[in-house]
Amino acid sequence: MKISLIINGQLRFVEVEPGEYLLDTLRKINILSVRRGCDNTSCGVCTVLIEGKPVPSCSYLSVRADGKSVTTVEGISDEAEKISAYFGDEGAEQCGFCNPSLALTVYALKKELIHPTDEQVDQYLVSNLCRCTGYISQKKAIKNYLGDQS
Amino acid sequence: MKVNTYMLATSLEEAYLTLQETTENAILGGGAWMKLSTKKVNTLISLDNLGLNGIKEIDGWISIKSMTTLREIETSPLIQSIGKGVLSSCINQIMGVTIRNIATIGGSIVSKFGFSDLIPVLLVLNTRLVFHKHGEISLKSFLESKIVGRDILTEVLIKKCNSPVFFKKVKTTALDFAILNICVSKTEEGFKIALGSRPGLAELAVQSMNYLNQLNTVSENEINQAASMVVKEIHFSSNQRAQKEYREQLAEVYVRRGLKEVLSI
Repeated sequence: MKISLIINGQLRFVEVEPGEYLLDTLRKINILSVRRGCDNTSCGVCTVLIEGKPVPSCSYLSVRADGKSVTTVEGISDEAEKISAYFGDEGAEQCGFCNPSLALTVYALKKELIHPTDEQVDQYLVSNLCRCTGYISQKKAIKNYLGDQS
Repeated sequence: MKVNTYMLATSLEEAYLTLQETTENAILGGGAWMKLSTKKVNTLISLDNLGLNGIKEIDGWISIKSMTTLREIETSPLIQSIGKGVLSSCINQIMGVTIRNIATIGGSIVSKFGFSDLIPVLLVLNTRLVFHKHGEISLKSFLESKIVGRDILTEVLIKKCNSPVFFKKVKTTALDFAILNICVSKTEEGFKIALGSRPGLAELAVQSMNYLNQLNTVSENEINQAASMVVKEIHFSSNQRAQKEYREQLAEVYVRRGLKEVLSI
């Protein structure tokens, strides 16, 4: 079946199977910043924004996204660059595999919560796993980014 | 889960009639746990366009439409009027925000998952379910019987209450399913105690509740007695997360703490 997706503001028509997940569809059309990790909703590396809300694309049927806006890290490139700079300042990234999804989730967090507490930030990011950096330096970088009003 | 065809229903009746055609047709809830299923589905019926979203207050009850996501419930100010926000604090512990943005209350209830954190909490509250054909039924009756059959849940009704409700999810890591869920409330209906992730479907500790509800006053001795009764009447078993004996120990301790908390002892 054919569905339409508004990917990063651009309308795309894609042929999908009824039981196909959005992660597979996006990778099929060469959007490779959306990563496959655990493939069962636990690690967060497949996160995309559907209508601005972060969801795990590995468990979201492509047909459900028909006609909806799908944002990957390419769609927030200016903000993602800013987030990356804060990560760099704190030495909060190594292999970079989880960065696109983390940037998207942090971006969504900033949009959704006004002046979040440290606990709220931890809770929001609990399903974004990083297996090489650890979380202390990431949290510092995220706090600095959230405090940036520019 | 293997899906043959996908149908975006245009009315509840159309979704219901398609569901009745064959037992291989199924309703799509949030879809968060679809990957856990090895089931083959002929037609997967989506309720996404039926307006089954939203939370409102009606005559002392909170009405939650079945396709409302767990995140919408968690962040709704109306939910704070139930057991001092116990639903928010329970949902807050379910996986991460991304999953809670897709998982729905309807899917969480109708699937009757043994690992559900939500069902024990709803059991100790006054919760009623509204189905398209069957109409209204208590959550307890729905869980204990197959009386509803193949129907579509449209609405969840929860009575507002100001009493504190104790909820404890015992887990080893932030994203894991619970080893055990313990929920205790004391409302105008009396004491209620529910245990989930036993690892089976959550159930009420009816004998212990009856024991407490026939007492005039409840002190430390009665609390200890009720907690040990819970272990005798509820069936626990072992799985890869914990042994039966460990769950029994946890249940006794947390029921005791829960009763003390709701009684402010």
